[in-house]
Amino acid sequence: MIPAKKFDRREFLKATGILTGSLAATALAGCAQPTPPPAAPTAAPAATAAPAATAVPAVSTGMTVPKVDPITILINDSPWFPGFEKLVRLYEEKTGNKVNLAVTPFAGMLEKTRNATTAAESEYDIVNLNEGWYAPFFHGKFIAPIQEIDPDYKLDPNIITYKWSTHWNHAKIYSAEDGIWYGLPINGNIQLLYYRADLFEKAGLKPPVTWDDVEAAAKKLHDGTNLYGFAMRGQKAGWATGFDWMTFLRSHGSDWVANPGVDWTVTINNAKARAGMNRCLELLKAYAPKNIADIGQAEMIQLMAGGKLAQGIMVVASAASMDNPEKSTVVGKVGYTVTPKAADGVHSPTSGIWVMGIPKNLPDKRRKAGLTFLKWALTKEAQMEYTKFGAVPVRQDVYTSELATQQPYRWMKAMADSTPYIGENIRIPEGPQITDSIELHVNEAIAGQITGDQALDKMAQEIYNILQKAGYKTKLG
Amino acid sequence: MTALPLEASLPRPGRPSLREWLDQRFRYWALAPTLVVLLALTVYPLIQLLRMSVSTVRFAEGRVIWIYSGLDNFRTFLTDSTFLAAMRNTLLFVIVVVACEMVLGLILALIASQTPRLAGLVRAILMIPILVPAIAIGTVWRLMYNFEFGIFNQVLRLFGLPPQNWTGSATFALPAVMVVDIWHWTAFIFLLMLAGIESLPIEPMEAARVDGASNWQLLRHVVLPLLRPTILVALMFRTIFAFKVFDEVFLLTGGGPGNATEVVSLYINRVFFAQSRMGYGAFLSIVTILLTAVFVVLYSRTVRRRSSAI
Repeated sequence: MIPAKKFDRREFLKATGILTGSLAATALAGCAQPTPPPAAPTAAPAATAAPAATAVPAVSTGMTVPKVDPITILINDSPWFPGFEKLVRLYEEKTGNKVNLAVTPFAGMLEKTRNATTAAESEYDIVNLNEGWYAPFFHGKFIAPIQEIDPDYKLDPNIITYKWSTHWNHAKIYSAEDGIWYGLPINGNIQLLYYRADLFEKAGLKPPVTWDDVEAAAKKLHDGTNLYGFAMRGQKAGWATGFDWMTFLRSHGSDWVANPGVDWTVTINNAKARAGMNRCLELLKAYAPKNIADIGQAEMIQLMAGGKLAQGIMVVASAASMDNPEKSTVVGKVGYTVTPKAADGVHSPTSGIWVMGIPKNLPDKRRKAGLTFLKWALTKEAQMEYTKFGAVPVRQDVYTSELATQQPYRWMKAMADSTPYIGENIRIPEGPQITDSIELHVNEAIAGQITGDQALDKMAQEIYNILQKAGYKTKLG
Repeated sequence: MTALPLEASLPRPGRPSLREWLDQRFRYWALAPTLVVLLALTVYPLIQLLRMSVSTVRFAEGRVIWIYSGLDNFRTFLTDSTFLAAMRNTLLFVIVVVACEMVLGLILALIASQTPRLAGLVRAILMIPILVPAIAIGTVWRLMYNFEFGIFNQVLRLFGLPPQNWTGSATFALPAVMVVDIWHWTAFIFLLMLAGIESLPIEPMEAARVDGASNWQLLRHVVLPLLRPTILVALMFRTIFAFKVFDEVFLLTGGGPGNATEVVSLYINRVFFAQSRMGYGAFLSIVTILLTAVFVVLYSRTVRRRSSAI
């Protein structure tokens, strides 16, 4: 038998010595090569000086943009990202300031934002916050108040705040006008009612204003095979079905609690909520595809762009697909209007926007550099370009501008009309738990696993439990 | 051979020199780097996970605050109907897919081993599902299950049957996900089994043939017993992997409709990363780790007991 070779300490030291020698020789050989010049720094040094005095006039926006150090923005790779990227490149071109984009899939945004804002110093100068989960960042003071960075900067009244998504009242634990100003909106994604304008015209129908109008039009146009009368997302997918359903809830005069930030009485299963739920289920049962409980955003776009849907609730971000000849058979035929209301209710399109914030754990110089970009990006001129790049702007004067009269931008009038009625997302730190509950039970009701009333009662109990456990003064309404 | 002086071959009395001491303990300090990495990447996170599972993690005042919450997460767990549904679905999923994959993988491997000329081709074809990225699998199968234009409903329509809501009905959704998993992972079992069959000794089979064994008897009394170690390893790995199923469910149904396809990994992911309930998410992770550990221990014991019985 051949004995196994023993690898002892001497063998180990010998091998280590040879390896170290080889590495050292390689390194010495490398030193003989000409040294490349040091790369330009990409991150701002931790200093507190104000932006450099050299200013570049940005002719297109009419504002003077100071020369600042390069910034990095954490941004999600959503359908509107290409528009944002073009806006960033325009900023670089016009101002000479450099912007790095840290592009991340939607699913990773929350984690990356949390890691950045809880670190000793954030690697990002601006973070993009989703309305669905931004509350803990404002409430937990992870974002720098805008007026702490620039006390002279005032919020332009033409910037839509989406029910004060920009401000946070720590006492109310909710967004409110009298709160601290933390963020600026960058994507104004809200719901609209999409309808087939050509078919409506042919049938002598007017754009729907109420749910009764929707039902009447659906009754007239629905054939159950080639054309469905009405649909919305019904698939359980994070916050999709529940998000679409919120417009039924609120347009019938109810809400998830009596008055968020003021009165936390759970009202999601009151009589008005039941009316909203019943109307939603009736419409879907009669006029939606049979697989409605499995229809997500992609399927909604397919149905509408494929000419198989007469009316549907969708976010404005989907509008770009309707006029794309490569994806749509109904180019120029889709109309847009404010989400309908109950006969005695009010319109209530739900917002699903993105707000940009500047992490608090940044030196003053980096904070100012971030705000410099945001100020520029929210000017009317920049927002006009942003719209042309295919993104959803956040200024009312852009929605009412001449651009809105052009055929490709016809969705903008519906956006302008929607502004006074916008219903916010669920904006409390426990929001994701509540939206999970709503999403699950609305989906169950749509799939026919439980009744609408059962779904509402389950949601009410779960929301009550969540609020109570978190310390809100709540009760079942 | 030169004989060494007697005193040189005998151990020296008294304290060993530093060199001897280092030589004697070399095996221990040679293991140290591995041990450090293991502690840093496995034991430390596990301890932190345990700590987190009895805490409430809050993000407030610009920092992360861990508050000891005792049995709070355990109490939440006792009333969590979604986790219960997720566990039920996961167990059903594991039992069905692992059983189907084991049987199909073994049958395919036996067929391939009987046709050596085709074995290479079959192996190459069956490798495809393993190589396809999960996102592509999800997209392709979601299109195939599509209510309007999916291939399955087109076939049903050809026979005059009504289309089915494959991924949107509580009846079909979980079986639909199972089918995709079976399609995806049968090839893995097939490859393991084929490798096992190809490495079996030929002599026992020839002896059985000489004794007049039929094909069935050969399989039942010779091949399967010899293949037993391969089968057991494959079974254990697939069971553990199936228990951790995430991507297929996430891409095909998102856990819906309702909780019809909710599975443990998907739910923990949502609790942890969407709902930001770190403490409770950690608690659920610990429960899952314990369940998996219990399975592995029981499984190993059963295997050992049976082996010693044989």
